[in-house]
Amino acid sequence: MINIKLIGVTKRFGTITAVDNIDLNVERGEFFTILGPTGAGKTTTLKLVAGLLKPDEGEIYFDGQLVNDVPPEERDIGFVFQGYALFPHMTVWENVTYGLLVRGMDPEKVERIGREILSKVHLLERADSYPHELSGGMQQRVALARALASGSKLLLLDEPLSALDARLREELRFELRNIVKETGATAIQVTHDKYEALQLSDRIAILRKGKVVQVDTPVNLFTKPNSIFVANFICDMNFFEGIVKKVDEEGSIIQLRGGPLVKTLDRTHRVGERVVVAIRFEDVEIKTGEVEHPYSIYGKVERISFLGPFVRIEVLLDNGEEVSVKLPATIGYRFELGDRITVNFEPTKIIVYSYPRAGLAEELIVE
Amino acid sequence: MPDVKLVNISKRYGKGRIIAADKVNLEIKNGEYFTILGPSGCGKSTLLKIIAGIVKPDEGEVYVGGKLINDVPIEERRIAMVFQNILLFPHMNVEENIGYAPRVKGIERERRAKIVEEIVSMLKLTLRSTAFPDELSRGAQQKVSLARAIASETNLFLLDEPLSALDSRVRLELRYELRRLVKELGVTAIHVTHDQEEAMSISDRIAIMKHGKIIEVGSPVELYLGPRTIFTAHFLGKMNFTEGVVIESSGGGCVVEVSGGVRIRTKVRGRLVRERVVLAIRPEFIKLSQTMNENEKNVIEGKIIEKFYTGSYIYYKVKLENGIEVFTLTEAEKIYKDGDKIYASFPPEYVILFKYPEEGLEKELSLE
Repeated sequence: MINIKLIGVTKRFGTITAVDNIDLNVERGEFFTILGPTGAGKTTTLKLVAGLLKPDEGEIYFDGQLVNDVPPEERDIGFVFQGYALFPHMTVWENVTYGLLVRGMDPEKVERIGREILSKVHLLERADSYPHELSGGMQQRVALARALASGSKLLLLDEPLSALDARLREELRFELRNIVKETGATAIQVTHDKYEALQLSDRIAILRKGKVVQVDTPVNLFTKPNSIFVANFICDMNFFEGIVKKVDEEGSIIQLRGGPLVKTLDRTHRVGERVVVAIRFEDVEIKTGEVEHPYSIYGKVERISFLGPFVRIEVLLDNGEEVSVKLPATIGYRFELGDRITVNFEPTKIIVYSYPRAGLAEELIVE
Repeated sequence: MPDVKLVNISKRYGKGRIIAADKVNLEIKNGEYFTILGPSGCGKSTLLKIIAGIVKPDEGEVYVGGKLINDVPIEERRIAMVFQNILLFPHMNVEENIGYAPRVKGIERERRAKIVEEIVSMLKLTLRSTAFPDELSRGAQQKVSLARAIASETNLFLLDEPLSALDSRVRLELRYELRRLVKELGVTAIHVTHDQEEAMSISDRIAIMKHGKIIEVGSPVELYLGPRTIFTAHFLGKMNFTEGVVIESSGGGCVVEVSGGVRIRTKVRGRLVRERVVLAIRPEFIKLSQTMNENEKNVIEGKIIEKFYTGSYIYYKVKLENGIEVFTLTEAEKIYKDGDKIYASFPPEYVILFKYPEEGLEKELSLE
């Protein structure tokens, strides 16, 4: 177990600043995830921690010791990459135990650790197989076993599951956290998949254009995203432009484009201010027919997509805007294309943001 | 709008050792959004290539619009393909890329510009038409390659993992765009993917494929709620499985005894007493409660042993008192802790039964 600290770290490639003055503190034994769109600087950050890249500015500490000038091989790190990078001419057993033998570990101890780790990843029976005889999912587990067997106190995982089929990825996700937690190692994972981040991590750092925009636990990030960008990236969120019409001790009334009024608990914005109203897909309430209520908005069902446990419904509101709704499938079945619908936004579920200087569209770009 | 029909298609590779397609029969209707879904290596891309004419089948016939096309060369099949790896002409700008097919066909400049303009507005492409591919994000590049496919004015679209190379967020957005476009244009689309959620959200019908064979064909809801095979049930989303034996069977359903002598009531009819079965239920149908509710059926006591946060919903791993572990999917309004005592109920109407597989349950659940 080891604590990792980045202070004011910057990395430039030519005129591009890939990592821009970031501070991070990863606790001992933490499963920490760096999440962001392609090009946000996630992998560069990981490479800086690994020592594969040198920062132009700033300091990196392992357990309080400055490691800027420590070469990667002396940092004692276990790596798992997207492409598994196994030794093709070695068996599963040899791949996993090679590093230990090279270090001169006592063969009996190597035997014990090898067996322990391979049973952890459910591959003990395949110890004598060669990588090409294994499926992609198995190879990825061998790569993980090899990293774990190294006994390193720090594991770096670069999109460890993204080369796998979607369904297999989901299944391995449920196992990965446990396997890592059992070793007690500190783990830093990089991904662009929010579900991978939410399900596996103790804490998540969201990166955008080389900067850290929010660091928090999955629950806090999901329930209290500090910006439109984070809300859009981590939640399934609807956004509407509006103007604050009234503020009182209970909250505020906001008028959306085309006239509909929304009641919120927010009191941080002034009357006349331009704002963005955000509500998650699963928090939008819909009813069939036109149910009158001061804050009802009407529309019609435009699209229904089946997601398995959930149904996603797109409603075209009478003001011309679209709202997405996510419902448990058993409830979602009640709605049909073309149905007239009443939409309500529960005040406690609404988040209000100041209108962004660069415009809403710019904040919603995820590439 | 052509319909596509595959009759007894077989294809082997590697001196016949690898069977990519094994007597495949499929009928895809006019204007349908049809998806072939299966794990890597199941042969789904080979099927698409056979329809495109890139690969010749060893056996069987391919019909498009009722016409046998086995011997029709690729360029005469009037098919548009979109691949995972985006293939744009790097030296042409957006407008030239989209207008490529009309230009080759000899359509004059003004009319061509109009076609391109229409497609750009249909796709809601907010790009500079003079930008070159390497100046665009991957999502935008894939949109341009779609636009180029549309401009070819063919009415059969073959989409080979068109979204797989994109970021997960971009992938979600393009999913809905794809379906909307195909439906607006009124073309037939055959889409190949390994992503079950993509398949379910986008398709009119899905064919599930494994080891070169079509396992099942149906609408997303049919396949998800009423799978006829264990593989389909497992591949389309998280599912709990356990073994059992039928101990009672009547017109109202049957009772199955599972591990630890626990009896589960189901609505499944026509099962034989003493039949060995596999019992399945989706995580979202299991109800959790901290108190024993007399009105619920099939209630088993258990303990929360792990949780996986996914936002508004949480997956719990629950260890039941008979030793079985199940996953549940519950709204995150109420969050349980590891070790919490819990009552899990399994509504009989959501319990599915399968015949016990000859080669065992484990083998059947392999996702690869």
